[in-house]
Amino acid sequence: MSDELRRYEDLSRLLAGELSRDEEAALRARIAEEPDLALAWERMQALPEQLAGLPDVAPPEALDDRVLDRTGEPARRWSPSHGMVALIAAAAAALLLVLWPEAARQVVLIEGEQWIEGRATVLAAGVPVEVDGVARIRVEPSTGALRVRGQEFESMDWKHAAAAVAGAAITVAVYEGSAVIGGEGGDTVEAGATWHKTEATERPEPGRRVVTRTGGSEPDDPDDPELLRTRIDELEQALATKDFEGAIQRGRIAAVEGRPQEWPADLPPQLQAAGFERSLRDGLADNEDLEILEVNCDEYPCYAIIEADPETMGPGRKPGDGAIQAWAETVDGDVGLMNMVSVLGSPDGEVGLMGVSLIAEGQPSDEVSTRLNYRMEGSVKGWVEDIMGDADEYDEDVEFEG
Amino acid sequence: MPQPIRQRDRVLTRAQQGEPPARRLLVERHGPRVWSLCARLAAGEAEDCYQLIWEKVLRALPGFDPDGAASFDTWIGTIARRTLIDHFRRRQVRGEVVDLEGLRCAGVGPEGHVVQRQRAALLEAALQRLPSDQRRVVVLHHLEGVALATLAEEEGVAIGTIKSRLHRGRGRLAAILGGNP
Repeated sequence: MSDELRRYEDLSRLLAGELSRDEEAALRARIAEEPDLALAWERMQALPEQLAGLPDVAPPEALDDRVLDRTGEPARRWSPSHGMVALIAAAAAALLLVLWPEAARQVVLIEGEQWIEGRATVLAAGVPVEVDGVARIRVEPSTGALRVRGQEFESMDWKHAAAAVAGAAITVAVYEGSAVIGGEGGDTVEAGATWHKTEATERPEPGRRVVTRTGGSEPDDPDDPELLRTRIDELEQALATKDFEGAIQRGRIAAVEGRPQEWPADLPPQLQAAGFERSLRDGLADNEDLEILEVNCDEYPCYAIIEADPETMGPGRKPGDGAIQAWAETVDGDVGLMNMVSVLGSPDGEVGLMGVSLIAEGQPSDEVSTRLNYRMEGSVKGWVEDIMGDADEYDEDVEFEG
Repeated sequence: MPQPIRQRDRVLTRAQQGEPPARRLLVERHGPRVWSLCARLAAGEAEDCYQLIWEKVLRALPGFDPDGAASFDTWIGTIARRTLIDHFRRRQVRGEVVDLEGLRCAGVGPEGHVVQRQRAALLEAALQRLPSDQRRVVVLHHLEGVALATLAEEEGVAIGTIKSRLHRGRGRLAAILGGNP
């Protein structure tokens, strides 16, 4: 071994605290006197951090396919009987709005189960649940509850609408971090705990009113003041009930669809209806893998639906190799990039769709997120139908987390 | 913020039940880490190494206990490490060649990271110039966070031997990076 290498080894031992006191004192004295050794010591001290900071390396493309093929996976086949259900599931899995690089997602959960990993606000049967960590949220509508598939209401029934909200069971199990239920000042559920709600929310019950008749009047006498008063009371009660149920229904629709947003003043040109498409097309002009399918500026904010290479759209990936993000960074001011991704199977392979939008002020309000989510979802579903045609002809599906 | 408890990973649970999309996600999620180990410790045979590790992981996956003592990260790391050590015991492979073209950085943006990428590439290349026993200790200790005592046990050698390999490896790395190979 050369003296040079032995000297570096000693530095490594010094770093590990393995030299004797005398050896350490002698080596430190040399470091103080010899500039070359001092530089080498600096390099040695920096080495552990540099090694720990080495990035992981992506495996060659197609190697994962070979691994899965060899271990018996049936090559991503999906039962044809799943048909559109599977496709909708794939789209639904992507219906989480993600703000690059890191921001809270918002999810509207009417029924079923949603896992949250990270920071997100979930509107679970109308109850806001703010998760920061890992949590499973489940909503089970009560019997006869309003059922929602995507954005389409089935079995619309006013009384059932009220029952759905009042009787839905909500379970929030927190596995990591915490969740706040019911908004600011609400219950905080810490990791390891589960919160459950089955009781009906306190609100006037739209039940029947018992009418007690008093003697002296014929029941059918239209002029009987007592009967008239009773009927008026009944009608007022029914009206109040309808108002209440209607309010609930409007609230539920608003929770899913959101409300059209006002165009903010002083928007950067790239966020205005007149400038969004041009800016986006200019920004992506050099990226042939991204095809703009649709631009929608009917409301604020504008968004685009873009077809992209699905290989770039997996968890943690940046679609278009960062081209979208690079475009967003060209916009002046505090701007947030909203992105929705969906990967679908087709006879020709996978198809990647993403919704892209820019919002002012960096962080979206809940109302902006909800509305944008609804609008993008509608467009994505339209493109899914266009691309997939008869769903039963397609039997592949790829699902990934938002 | 409370200390995080073990995350019940729905992808893992579904992969254990044999759902192909979940198994694929699991491979994609942990693939870069496994591949990095293979590329650094079994250069030239990295693809075989990668496939072998995943075969073992996926075969043993249904038996993994999410509530057990080891997290999934630890579990898969142990399988990968032991596979590599077995491999070296049998083959005594010494990878001296580094294919920088094959080292695609995952998660590093295209802009503003040129210097870091150059440094990382230099360090990767320097790692490949270490003898395999030294490289293994340096990589597993510094990148995988494996304790030296654990490495001694798994390699079947004395802790002093592992420490000696570590110091020689780090010394050689620092020398190479300083222009004194």
